[in-house]
Amino acid sequence: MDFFGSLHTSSTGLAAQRLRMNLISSNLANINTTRTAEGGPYRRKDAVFAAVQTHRSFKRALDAARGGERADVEIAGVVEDPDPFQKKYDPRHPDADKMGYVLVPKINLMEEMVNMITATRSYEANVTAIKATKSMALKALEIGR
Amino acid sequence: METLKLCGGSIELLSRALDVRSSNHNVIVSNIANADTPNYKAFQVEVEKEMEKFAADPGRLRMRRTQPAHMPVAAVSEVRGTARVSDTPQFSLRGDGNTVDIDRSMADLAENNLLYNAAAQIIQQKFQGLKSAILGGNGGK
Repeated sequence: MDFFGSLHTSSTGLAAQRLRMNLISSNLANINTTRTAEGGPYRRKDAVFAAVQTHRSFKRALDAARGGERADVEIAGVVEDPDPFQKKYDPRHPDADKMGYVLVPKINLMEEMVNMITATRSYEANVTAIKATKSMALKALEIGR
Repeated sequence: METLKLCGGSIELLSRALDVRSSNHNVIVSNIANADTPNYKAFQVEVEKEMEKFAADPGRLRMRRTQPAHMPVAAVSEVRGTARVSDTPQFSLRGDGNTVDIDRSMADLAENNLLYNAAAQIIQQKFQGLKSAILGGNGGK
């Protein structure tokens, strides 16, 4: 049967939430970063998820034709927050301008913590789903034992 | 003489139940994985309706028995539940167009899991009963 399909769907969910968690950690770690490779302060990063229901490959099209409805999660991209940076008055900072202002990343600690909790919960939900899939597959193996 | 119902009847029905439950599982898992995907519309399989469809379906292909002593053969039928987009929750405070209700999904997952296991267990018991009959009871000792 297509329990492997269910497992795959859950694993895409896990991967998506893990990536989100990585981005949140990176946002939290760089809350005061004023220098980046691209120049300027760090910009807050966020993941964009998309459901894959389009039939890109032969296998997916075949599965769909056989009636196996499934929608994996896909990481459509990582976007950077385009909002302007915050200005902080700190004349002794090496990156301060003539007026004594430093541009610092616009990261809201509260927002990041809330996103972290939702990512954790979603991850746990996917883990529960994988456990359920496993128990069903094992139960099916017991038939005829 | 009473027809010998070895592989017909309830085993057929239960195997259909397993099929529908497993496609329902697929759908629930997809909804859980996409709980944070913007504009994702949750979908669902109505298991009871699918099972009714099975019971009432007259167009199923059956093998004809030309001898009364032939064993009954299971009908060939479409074994997938069809999913449909679930109704939009009446009160949703989410602004991203996603219609997944995670609490309901987790409850559905548990319920579906239990009922699948129950159906699998009943089939297992049935086969064990048959085995016991074949071996003449007491495990053939």
